[in-house]
Amino acid sequence: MKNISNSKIIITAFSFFVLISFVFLSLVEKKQADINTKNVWMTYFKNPKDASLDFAIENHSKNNNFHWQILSDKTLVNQGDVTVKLGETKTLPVSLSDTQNKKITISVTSSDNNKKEIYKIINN
Amino acid sequence: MLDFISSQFAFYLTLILVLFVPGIFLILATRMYKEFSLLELFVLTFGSSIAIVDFLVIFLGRTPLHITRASVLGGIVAFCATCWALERNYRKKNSITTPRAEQIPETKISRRSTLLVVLLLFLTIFIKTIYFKDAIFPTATDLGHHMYWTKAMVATGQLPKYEKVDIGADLTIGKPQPIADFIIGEHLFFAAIALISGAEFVSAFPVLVLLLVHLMTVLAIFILTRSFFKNSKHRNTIAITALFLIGPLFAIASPQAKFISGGVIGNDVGNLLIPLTMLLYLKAFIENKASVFAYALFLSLGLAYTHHLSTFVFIFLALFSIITYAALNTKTILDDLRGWIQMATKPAVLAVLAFGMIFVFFFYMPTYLNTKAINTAVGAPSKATRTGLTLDQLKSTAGEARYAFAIIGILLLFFMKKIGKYNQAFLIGWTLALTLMSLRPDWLFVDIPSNRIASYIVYPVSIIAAFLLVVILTELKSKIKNKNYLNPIFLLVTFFLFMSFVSTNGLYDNAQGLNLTSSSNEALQTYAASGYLADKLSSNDIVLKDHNYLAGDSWIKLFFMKGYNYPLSRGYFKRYEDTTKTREQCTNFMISAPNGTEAAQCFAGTHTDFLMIDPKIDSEQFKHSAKFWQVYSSDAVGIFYKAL
Repeated sequence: MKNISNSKIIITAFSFFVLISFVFLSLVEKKQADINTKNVWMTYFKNPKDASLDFAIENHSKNNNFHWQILSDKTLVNQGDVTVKLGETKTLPVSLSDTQNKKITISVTSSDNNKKEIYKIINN
Repeated sequence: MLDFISSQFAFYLTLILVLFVPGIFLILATRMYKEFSLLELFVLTFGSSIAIVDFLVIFLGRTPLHITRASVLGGIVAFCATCWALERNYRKKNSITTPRAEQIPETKISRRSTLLVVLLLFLTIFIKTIYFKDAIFPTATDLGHHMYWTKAMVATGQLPKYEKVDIGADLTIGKPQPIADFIIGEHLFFAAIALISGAEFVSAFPVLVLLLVHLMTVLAIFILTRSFFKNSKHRNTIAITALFLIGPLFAIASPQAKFISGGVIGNDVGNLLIPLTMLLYLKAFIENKASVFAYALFLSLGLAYTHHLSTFVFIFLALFSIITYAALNTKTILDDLRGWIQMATKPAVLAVLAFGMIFVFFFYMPTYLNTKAINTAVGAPSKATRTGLTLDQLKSTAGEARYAFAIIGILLLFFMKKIGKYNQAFLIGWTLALTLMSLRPDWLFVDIPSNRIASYIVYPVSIIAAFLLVVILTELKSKIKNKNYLNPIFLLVTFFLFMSFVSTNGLYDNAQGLNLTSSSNEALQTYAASGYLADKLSSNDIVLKDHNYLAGDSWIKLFFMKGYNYPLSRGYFKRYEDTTKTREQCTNFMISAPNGTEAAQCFAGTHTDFLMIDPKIDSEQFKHSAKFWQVYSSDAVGIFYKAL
């Protein structure tokens, strides 16, 4: 201990504290950056710019079960249930005739009644 | 987990390689190790490395080598090898056999003081870490802007062209125009670290690098305080008190942790380089050493390439220091001036000046060195935010307790010639320059936001407050010892009163700054939506996003990498009501009233077809129109596509 200069003690302690702080903060950030811990989910069209109605459910929540409905204007034309596990994305193909000038809405509801909608109004 | 561990190793090794190694070798080559203590050298290597890496990356960007992992690594190795060879050659030529470590002057500090310093550093880092646990995830607007340019450099291997496009009066997107707000040195060392470590931009990396810069600043203030009061027997006590006032107390408010999480890179690096250059100039002038003066000039050049405001502040504080010196040393000023000129014309100094001129004129001229940028900083204050702070505002910026002690301290300093004439002039000049620039910018023709300037005052104010605190307590102690008419209890009570005042004020300030929650949840949804859209965009698509309600929105452009102003942004609403400047309204109309005639003209002119908004606030106006499709839906982000 006597041979170690005081400058070296300060530098070593400082470097050690910085290292511990940085590792801790990196771990915290890693956890915060994990969207699977945020209990969120989203739905979107696979092709946002064309008339395709295929959509995806991307799940980062604890709810694995989703109910989807397809409405043409306000008329229900199709519905179903799908299981999407945490961290997974499931694409659901939609083939629908007679979509011209109609608002086609995809409504997705999670098991905790959180509802999200996407829609297209297809005009040719 | 293995990925995390390996990325951590890569990151820390890169930090050492980029932010310490080049500085160590420059100190070897310039033999600065004989001039400064180990602790001073530790901080100097860090500041020097930032400047060296900046110049190195600019050089690489201007050559066919480009900015790549291999070229940056090779450049650092080549620089270090050259420095090593130069130093070896010098030692051989002069038959020097003494080990270098033995030539480093020892820091004169007792073991008890050392332990106190270690304890204060622990508290400093601990408090800041607590704050950053909710601010480590990158969401800050400024940091997002800076990281765009850094990523552009990493992605293209070229120096960035600081340009942006704006919506013109004809409602179309105009041609790129230069931006003077960004200084290349803010991005170069980040690019070097990202390239070598492979760190992701949307990660802890940018904030951690800035935090390291800030912690080194705290150490820099400690060593500078010791240097200012090197003639005082209480130098260590004053420096430890300054560390107390700048470290654990007032640890979060601007310009400390808040500036780090906010990504105010230029200010943060400026706050490190200003005390370091001051340390060097102080030594150069006191000991009349041209080599130290040349080194100080080199770091000043590094500062000039990193931050315009800090450089501006530095010029003013240098001027004020010279004026103060002249006013306090009227009898010797002419002789001193002759000595300064002799020192400034030594080969080492001229070589650094030549290096600076070659860099400015042949390699890279900082963006702020154009008439428009200079005109925006110099002249009569043009906005209400630039007309100066009130004393009350300055007190709040500096920290009430520190400010109270510093006001008396600065008066006392005028009569403290025994601390050294340069020490006295530098410290007074530094404080006076910042006080006047903050309170009365019109007197100095300064046209810069006054609160930004005032943030620099925290450091000299802490040093002077520490000085006064120690002077009061030591004077009381000596009176008790010598004259025996003061009760020792009085000293103890005074000490505890002062400490209570300072500590409660500083800790209250910390408590005010602590975050309640992290905004990572919403920001992650923004980034997820950005990733989705980035995959779908073609070259014709134009995106508009909202800055008011989307978390982490300035980071969206890092997913697209299509330009600084891509996506277009609806700014804060007050911007659109600015009476002093005509601003484009399209970005507001296209989100706030997308079905109006103005918005229709804007959509036609700009070809905007994707809109990213907060669905809770801004989705209804789109749902009422048959022109828009909602193509993406999450809790925090909705994306609409303009189909018609």
